[in-house]
Amino acid sequence: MSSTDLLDDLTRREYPHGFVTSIEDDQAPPGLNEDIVRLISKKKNEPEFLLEWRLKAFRHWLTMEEPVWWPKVSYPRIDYQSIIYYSAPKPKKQLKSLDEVDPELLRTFEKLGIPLQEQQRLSNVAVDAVFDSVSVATTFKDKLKEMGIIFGSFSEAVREHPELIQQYLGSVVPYTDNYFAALNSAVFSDGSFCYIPPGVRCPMELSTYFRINAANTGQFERTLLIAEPGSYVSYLEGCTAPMRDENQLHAAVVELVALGNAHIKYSTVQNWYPGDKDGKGGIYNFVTKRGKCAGKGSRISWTQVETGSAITWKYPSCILQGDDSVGEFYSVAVTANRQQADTGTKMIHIGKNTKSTIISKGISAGRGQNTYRGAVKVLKGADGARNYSQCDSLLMGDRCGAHTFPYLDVRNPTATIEHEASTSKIGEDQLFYCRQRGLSEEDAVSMIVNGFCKEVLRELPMEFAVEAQKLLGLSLEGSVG
Amino acid sequence: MTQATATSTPFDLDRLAAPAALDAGALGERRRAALEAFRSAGLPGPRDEAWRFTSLAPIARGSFAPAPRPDAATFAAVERRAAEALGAAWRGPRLVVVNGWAAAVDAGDADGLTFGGLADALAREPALADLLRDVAPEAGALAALNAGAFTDGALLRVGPGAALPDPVVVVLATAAGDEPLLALPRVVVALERGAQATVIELHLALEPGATPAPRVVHDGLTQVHVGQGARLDLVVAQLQDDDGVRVHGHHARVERDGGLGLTLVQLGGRLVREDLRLLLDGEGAEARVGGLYLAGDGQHVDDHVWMEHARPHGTSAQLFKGVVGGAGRAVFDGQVHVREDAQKTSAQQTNRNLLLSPQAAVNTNPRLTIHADDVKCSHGATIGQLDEDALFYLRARGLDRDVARALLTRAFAAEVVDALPAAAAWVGDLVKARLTALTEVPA
Repeated sequence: MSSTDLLDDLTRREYPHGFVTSIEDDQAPPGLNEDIVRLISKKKNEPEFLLEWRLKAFRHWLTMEEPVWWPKVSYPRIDYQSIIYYSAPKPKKQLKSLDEVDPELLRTFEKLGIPLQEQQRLSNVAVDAVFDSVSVATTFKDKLKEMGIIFGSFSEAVREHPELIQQYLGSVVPYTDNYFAALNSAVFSDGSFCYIPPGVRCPMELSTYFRINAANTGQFERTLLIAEPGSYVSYLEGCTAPMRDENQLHAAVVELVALGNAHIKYSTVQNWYPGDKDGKGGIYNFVTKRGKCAGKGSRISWTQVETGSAITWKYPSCILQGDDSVGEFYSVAVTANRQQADTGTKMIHIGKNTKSTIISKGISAGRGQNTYRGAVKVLKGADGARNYSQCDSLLMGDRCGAHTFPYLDVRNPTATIEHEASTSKIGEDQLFYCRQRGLSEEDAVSMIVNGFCKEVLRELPMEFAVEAQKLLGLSLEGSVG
Repeated sequence: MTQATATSTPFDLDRLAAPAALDAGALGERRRAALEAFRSAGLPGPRDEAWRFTSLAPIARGSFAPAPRPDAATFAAVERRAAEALGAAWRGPRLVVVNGWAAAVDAGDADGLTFGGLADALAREPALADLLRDVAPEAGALAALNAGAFTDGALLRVGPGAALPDPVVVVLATAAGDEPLLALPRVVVALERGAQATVIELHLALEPGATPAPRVVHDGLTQVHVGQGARLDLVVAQLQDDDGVRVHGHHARVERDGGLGLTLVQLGGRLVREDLRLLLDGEGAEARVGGLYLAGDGQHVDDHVWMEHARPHGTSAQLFKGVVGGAGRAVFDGQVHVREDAQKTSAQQTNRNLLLSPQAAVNTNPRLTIHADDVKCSHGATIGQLDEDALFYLRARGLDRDVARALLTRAFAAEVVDALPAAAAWVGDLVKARLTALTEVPA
């Protein structure tokens, strides 16, 4: 097959998660105003403080301007009044067990390969499934409860642990942070909440699965994860959406708090619908993710594999406040067809002897534009701060682009900061070597790409690593000839 | 040129006056358009990405009049200062430009060389105006101001195949006057097909010691054209203790198989900003850029580099090193841009910074934007301090702390200094003296 045939083959490939589930849903009218914010809050029976917070966020959002400065991302303006801000599967009554969940919904998650049935204990992953804006099921809840771990939907946590919500909500990403974080703070409908008590090592991977289903909706979920001193948790996040011709907005906020010596590992495999080969449709993935290493010796690791979305705008960051705290960021971002990704991280060194590592691998194919944008900031008091960044880009095809924009801002002479980046295409010599040993071109490319991403993929929990490798193969198959 | 001002600027633009030769014909048209562009854009502020880390507030608060032609005594004083700095290298063709006005020239008699004051040259030979290429709008408002209002400067042209035996020296000096001044010099360096030359551009200031506010704003621009197969070595040295504000751009275009070697040495100043824009506009064009910037107490040095590969088979290498002591601040912003059809490009960029004191700060933004796939591009940046082990090694051998620090810092800078052409060896001595002062730690 010639390279053009291969490319055609790739671009004709259907997005495997693109089906729509026909399920009755309870939707708010499109548009955004204070009444909608109040309606969302009322539907969820929220305490007064949360409604107040939402309204404050909404009023602040009104004063903000949508950022338009990104030099490497372009898209038509979003009409915020045509989006439906609340959509929930019906009927919305208290569910006792999974048997009561709409079978259509269960089938959806089954199709996506998400183990919701408790009998699938072998997988040993606790899953919180978020459908459109609402958490529909959480597995392994009781087992986790025995250890004092709280894991479930955000709205449940608001009802059952309002004190934790009040203490930590917005403590890492305030509603004033940026345009999309403010919007999310005003209209978020659900999400995941997780609390690990002091000294507890969470025995299984916790996982949230996000699914956008209804048309014209936006998904605004919020994740809050608190790790008390000495605890450990590994958290996974996955996402898909149906194929639609309109663009859909996903503006999520993730907040992590790691107290003394706690370790949070947060992994994402993002596979929102990327749009078709001409760039029609797809998700705008505008997400704010930030973790605070609040205590001494705490550690936050972000690992992400970004293969979906028409546009990805996302900078999972670490505030290294506690002395000796560690921040890590491992990322693989793939853009094919007309996808655009502008992603990276911010490492803010505040405490003494804080360390951060950034490994970013960008792969551009077709007409994809892939940008790494990151910042490393060392404040005055951060004696002995250490950072190592490596950003490599792989180009496949002569119409794509790869860009690197690191910002290094150092105000302490004892800091040691290193940044390296390289951009190249798959070496002819490497391909030749593999083919000479009898591998097909496809296999050779897939092997080289996997090798290129290995430093990141090995950071993923096993269950995810397999999925991620498959995804990489799918998105890039046939991109090089 | 007295249209209504769109944006208020600290410059008294109504008093602009330039030699008639500059305002005639097509050049005059372009000048008026550029000045209009500056009037509507105004001074860049912190919201401009290119000025995020460098504040022009010290200018914005002042009021600067276009500098008049200085008197003969000032020219002579600059000449003495330059001769002192260059030592034995103060020979061969040379020209002194003060506050944007050229003195009488000592052009030497090399074959194929046209060299002299810019306004004089244009008055004699109006066709030379073609060498003053348009200044791209992306170059920013201050480049537009120079494009619209430069008063004079230097023009250097080397004819086809000519090789200059001696380096050509252009001194760009500022001198404070009775009122705060705005100096707008323009330098044009054009090497025609197969020509070879070494050019030294020396920036210095004649000013009374430290003043609370800058007395002179220098907004200069050097346009460089390296023709097919030509070879230019350009050394830009900026002397220390510059108490004014010095913004200078070097815009270079290199044609097929042409080569440009550029070394930029900045010894520090109140506010020094360099905009280097290089366009590799022919197959096989090559650029090697070395940079060394030093900043001490109250000094701010900012280097912006835009390296654009427009054609296939281009090669570029950049090495920028910075040493920041006291409460100094350095900014480096380097972009490598590879256009869609610039396949087989090889581009490399390195930026290393040494922080010597707790108050020193560095911002570095190395960037790559790549639109072609068959390329090899890489960049690297580091910020750190002197190696403790190396310091210990030297001290164990009997060197005291200051000497050991000075020695290691000098070694750090050597990578750039050693690559200077022989004609600019004197720059190395200045760097050495300045580094020793920067590394001295009060007991």
